Amino acid sequence: MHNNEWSLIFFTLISQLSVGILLMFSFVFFVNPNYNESQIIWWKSPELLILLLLGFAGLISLLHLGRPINAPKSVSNFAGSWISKEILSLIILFISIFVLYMLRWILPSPMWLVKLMLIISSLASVIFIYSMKHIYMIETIPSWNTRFTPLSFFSSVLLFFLLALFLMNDQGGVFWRNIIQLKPLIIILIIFLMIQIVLGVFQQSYLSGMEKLGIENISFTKGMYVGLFCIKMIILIVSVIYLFYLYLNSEKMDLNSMAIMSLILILIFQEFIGRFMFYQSYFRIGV
Amino acid sequence: MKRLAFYFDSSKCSGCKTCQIACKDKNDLPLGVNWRRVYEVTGGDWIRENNAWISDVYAYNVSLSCNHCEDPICLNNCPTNAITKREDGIVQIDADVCIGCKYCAWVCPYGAPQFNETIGVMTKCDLCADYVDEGKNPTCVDSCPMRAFDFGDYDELKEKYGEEAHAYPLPKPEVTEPNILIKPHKSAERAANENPEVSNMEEIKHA
Repeated sequence: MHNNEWSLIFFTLISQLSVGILLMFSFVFFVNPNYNESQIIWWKSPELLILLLLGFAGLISLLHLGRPINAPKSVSNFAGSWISKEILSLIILFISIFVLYMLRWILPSPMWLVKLMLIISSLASVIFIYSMKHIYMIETIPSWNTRFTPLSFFSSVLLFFLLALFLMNDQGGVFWRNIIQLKPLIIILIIFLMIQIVLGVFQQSYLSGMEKLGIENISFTKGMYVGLFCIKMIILIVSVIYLFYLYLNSEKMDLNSMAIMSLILILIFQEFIGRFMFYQSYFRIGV
Repeated sequence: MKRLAFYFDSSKCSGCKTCQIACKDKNDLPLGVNWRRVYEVTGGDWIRENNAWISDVYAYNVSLSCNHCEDPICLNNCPTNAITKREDGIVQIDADVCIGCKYCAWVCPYGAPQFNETIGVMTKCDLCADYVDEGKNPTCVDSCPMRAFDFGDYDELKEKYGEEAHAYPLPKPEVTEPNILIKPHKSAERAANENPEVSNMEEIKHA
């Protein structure tokens, strides 16, 4: 782990969590914009939660800078640098969600305007993640410059999107249960996690073939890296089994909220392990 | 635009690291920051022939700093435009603009940009720009007791020494088009196939 990359792990994951929640919010809003029926008070204004998360992620990202005072200059090379593009798209995303919040809660506006702003915010969030993944697609870093990097970044967003739906189904009351049917959601989540398992195995196999590149190779076939890979896979497999159990018993029993929350938290934790492994896998060609 | 370049004869280099020390001294670099580094490549083994063990080992050195590339990957990716290229081809970092994100260090295949903890920004070889402006050579070039270096215009150096393949452990020059001409050590070709270790990595990182 290179110095201060913890801040980048948290920045990327919290940003992706925010985008996942935003996309889920957009999805449900277009299905049924009547949010006032939600039983969760904070969810009546998910924009505030997203703004808080994005702001927190932005602040954490400053921790990896040697001279944070110069941070405003980081958008200067918009034409050439993907970091500049990422920061700019983050700023646009933040502003668009703030405007959305104003339109919904402070200056009540026509529904078409709210929907338009929601579409703009969602597009900005996708561009933000697209820019973020490009930062790591570097010709001189073969372990990052693969198709697994964009897959990993976008699949994190998709996982957070599905987990947010899952959480709302559990916590959001009758209104949400009418919008989000539990059984199809569980099936989608199971399929998604199984795809993640297969991709994880392919990625591990791909990285294992890279051990002879560069002078400062890390080992992808032994030690901590393999240990973390195994933990991640075990979490995914156990989650799939548990979801199968939920699927088979969803009509017979009341779902236990604690168990659902635990599942969500442990799936977020395995994303954290995955991102840690991603930064661990850094090595470049040359010296 | 001019192309100022280094020439380095790996077959002459004894690995004494005078170039590294001269650079460190001239630029007053702190612990852990080495704008010029000497990589000690060591490989091979002992081979048994009947009752005798015969040495089949090899070792050579590669002295590297920033190569002031024609297509500098650090400059292209710097989010603040802190890295610029002068008319004479010198690639330099403006400490007043740098945010110290270390992205240039991630991407450079020569390990040229290095983070200076004391001032919180990236730093790198500037070809001793003050010396160059006075018509002198960079300090590493003149300090070498083996005369393994030369310095000047890329095309003139190419005419003088010819152009040979970049030796292990350097990346393919097509990636960034570095302004360095290298005469590889005789064992470099073998090393390229065997990927031997660089035996002084700890020293390179922490000296």
